[in-house]
Amino acid sequence: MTTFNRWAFALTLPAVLTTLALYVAPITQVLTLSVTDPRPGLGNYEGLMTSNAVAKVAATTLNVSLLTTIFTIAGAYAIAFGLVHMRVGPRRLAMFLVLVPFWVSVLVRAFSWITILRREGVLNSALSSLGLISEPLNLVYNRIGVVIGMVHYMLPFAVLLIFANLSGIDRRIMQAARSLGARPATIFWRIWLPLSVPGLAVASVFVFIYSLGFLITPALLGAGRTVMIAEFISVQMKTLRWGVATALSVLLLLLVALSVLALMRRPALRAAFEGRPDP
Amino acid sequence: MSQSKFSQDAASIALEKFRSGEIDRRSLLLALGGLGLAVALKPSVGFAEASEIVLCNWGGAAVDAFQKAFGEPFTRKSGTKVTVDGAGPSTSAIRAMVEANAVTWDATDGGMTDAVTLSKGGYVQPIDYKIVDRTKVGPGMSAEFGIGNYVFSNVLTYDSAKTKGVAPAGWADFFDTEKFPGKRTMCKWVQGQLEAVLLADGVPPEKIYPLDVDRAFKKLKPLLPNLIFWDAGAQSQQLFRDGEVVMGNIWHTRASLLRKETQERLTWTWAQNLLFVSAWSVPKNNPAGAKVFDFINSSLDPEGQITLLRLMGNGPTNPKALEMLTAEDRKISPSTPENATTQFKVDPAYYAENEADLQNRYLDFIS
Amino acid sequence: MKRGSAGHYLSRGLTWLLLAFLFLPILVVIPVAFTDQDFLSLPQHGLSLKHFVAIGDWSAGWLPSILTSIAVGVLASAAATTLGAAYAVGAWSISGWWPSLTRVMILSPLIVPPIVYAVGIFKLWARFHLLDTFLGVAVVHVVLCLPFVILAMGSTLSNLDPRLVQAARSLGARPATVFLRVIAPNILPGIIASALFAFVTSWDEITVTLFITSRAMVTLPRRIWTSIADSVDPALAAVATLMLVVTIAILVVQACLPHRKPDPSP
Repeated sequence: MTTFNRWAFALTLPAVLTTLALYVAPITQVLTLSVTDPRPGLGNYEGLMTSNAVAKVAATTLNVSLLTTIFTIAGAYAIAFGLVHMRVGPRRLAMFLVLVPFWVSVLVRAFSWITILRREGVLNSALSSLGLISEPLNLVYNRIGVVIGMVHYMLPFAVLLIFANLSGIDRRIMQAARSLGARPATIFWRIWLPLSVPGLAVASVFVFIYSLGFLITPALLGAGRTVMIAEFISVQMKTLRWGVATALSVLLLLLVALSVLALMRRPALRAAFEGRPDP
Repeated sequence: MSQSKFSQDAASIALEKFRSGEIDRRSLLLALGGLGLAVALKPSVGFAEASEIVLCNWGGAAVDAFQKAFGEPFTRKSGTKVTVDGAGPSTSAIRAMVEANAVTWDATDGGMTDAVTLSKGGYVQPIDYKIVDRTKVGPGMSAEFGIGNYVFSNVLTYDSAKTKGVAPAGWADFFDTEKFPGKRTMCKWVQGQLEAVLLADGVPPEKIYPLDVDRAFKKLKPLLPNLIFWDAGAQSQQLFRDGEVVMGNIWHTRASLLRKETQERLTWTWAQNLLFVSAWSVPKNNPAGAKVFDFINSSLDPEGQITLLRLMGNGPTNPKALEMLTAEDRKISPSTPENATTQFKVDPAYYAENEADLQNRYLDFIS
Repeated sequence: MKRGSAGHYLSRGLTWLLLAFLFLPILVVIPVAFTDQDFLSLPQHGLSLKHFVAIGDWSAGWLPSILTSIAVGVLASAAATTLGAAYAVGAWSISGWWPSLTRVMILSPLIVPPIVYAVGIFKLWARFHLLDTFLGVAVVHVVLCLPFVILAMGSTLSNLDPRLVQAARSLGARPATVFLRVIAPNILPGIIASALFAFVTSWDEITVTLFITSRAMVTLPRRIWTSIADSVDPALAAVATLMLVVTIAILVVQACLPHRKPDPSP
């Protein structure tokens, strides 16, 4: 190991040790409950495998998380792409619009969406007074409402992640392509998009993983009709089935770890995920 | 060090004497106070001071209301300070505290079912009926691990503007989407939900338990597209204010607030209301020790319970309080005879046994 | 994309439309903050300032909670950004199983539901008497903010050219010089984004905080949560409105300051 590598290794240590002591250790202690509570054995896992409720909650969670990821990434890419092409003034304004939602609590945002989306809410009233609809649309207290709320929550994160990547791309490549006569569409598809892959990959993985654990937004905007896994786990905690709750957490953790590992087999994604340049 | 050991010893002697009846409570407390040592007796070190009783309830206006109804009268009588923590005494929070030996609450405001559920894991201690006078509360409101501090009902609430002034007669009308078109709301938490469904389906009250879940689901299935499920009380209220629903199965306290707010446009019927008994539980190794039972005993006095009724709408558990109510009080109290004619009492023992499974099946069904 | 082309206008229009989707719903909090009702709603009979008055009243608890949350957030964000940036740079510089393994470990708080962690840390903090203390909350927030820092750093580092580092090393720069003089200035945007992510995470954290605090530490989300049990207090919309005003003010001041770099765009 060179001196440089020893230094690099030492730099990783504080974060690793902090996480080990203050996250991994306490959580391991809790997760062992999955094989000890209420009695030792694998009973909790057997129960999970045979439960219809768990299967349905898992399906809902995957479905909502995928929808959220797709819409968020598409929207965030459009915003970030616009941002890198803006002049300083408009960009500052646009950045402000991206950052402001961060300051507003997730609870307040959920209530804002209810105010807008409910049957007698801002949007439905506007649409019906314009004569565009005769019956109010059911936009909230269902899966649509949950996805809207989650996309709105995730969008600023994804914009920042993708923007950081896009603004680091060497613009001389595009200039060169243009001077060689490439059309804007060609430049976009053949240059921008491939160079954006690392940012898109990091943002997608982040949005997807984060979506899996959403609690408040689905609870408020889904109103019982869309139950995701975090809410299900907290119900098990409340009914003191800690063994079941922790077994479910272990499965979730394994699922995510496996899918991250699978993603990392693709070199480009691995590079992005590890924050390294494409080999 | 030796000083504290001594006082601890002296204290245990005093305690011994108290148990064997040689000295009365007052002298015991005096003796302990003189030794300055409520702390030394405490088996755990929490963040509550020993000279106070810490109640935990679910926050909001209930923090002040509990202070006025239960805290102040007790402080006047005993000189002991009462603090109300609105953090929410969830069963998981209590379990975590007890397991970590870091209990900060003396009395927690939960359902009778919670009391039984917690007792199964050994997280709460039995109510000391040598100190707490169980005859103060009505029949069925005192149990080994919990004693009723107030009652509340799930009632059929409706928007009279949308029903054109017609009051629904009972849960059967909740399912009648032709007579009463529009969305309805039920609670996401199963207690008191399937009972209403089965009553609507014509099951006689005495045959409701054990719940025929399949039958209830079959009856509920066609109504699902018209249902929104509320989670917290404030949400149930909001659904009515927003005009989102025409009817709902919600707490009478919330219905009462809605009625006041809307000059009786939003109101409820007591027909087939579902009565719940809320209860004090005492976590194991609570910081104030046995002193909490003095507090609990004091909280069962009629005056405080009436104060709570007026502040929050929570009904008294002490039958004596009922005699002292004004006509206005009686309108919002679920336990008066005129409001209880078709009342159904929700069975905590059934839920203590079945809640976890039932809750999962219910969530699976509604989502 | 070429200015003036149809594609240019289409993409620009789409960007602003999406920004409107992001921003406009937030504006709903402004009329709500001025509601004359005691619950979260649009004003019904007139405007009222009572919810702003409620925030200004120290004893009502909103102000102390806001200050507590800012203090916890700043501390947690600073610590998490330092730890996380050091980690990310270190992991970027070396290859092999160590970075892969530890990265998944540090990211795990994103996956495990916070309620499960809440139970674990409760037991640990009970042992160290850190329950309901400033330090206890801040340290937990550091752990919960770390994954965000690492993700934000990863995105920036993926653009850093390793040849830069190789060049510096081959010119004989010492490791400390390489990290501080070569790498750090190049990843500054990432560090700023990380600090922001971390602060916001701490600012909005409720599940774990609720579990490990009692009466002494009432962060802003906890204050909101407690008020929700009763009626959803419009004071929280007033808080959000104030935050909007503060953010706008900071931006305006920043824009008006002299010594700005000249606008690089044509």
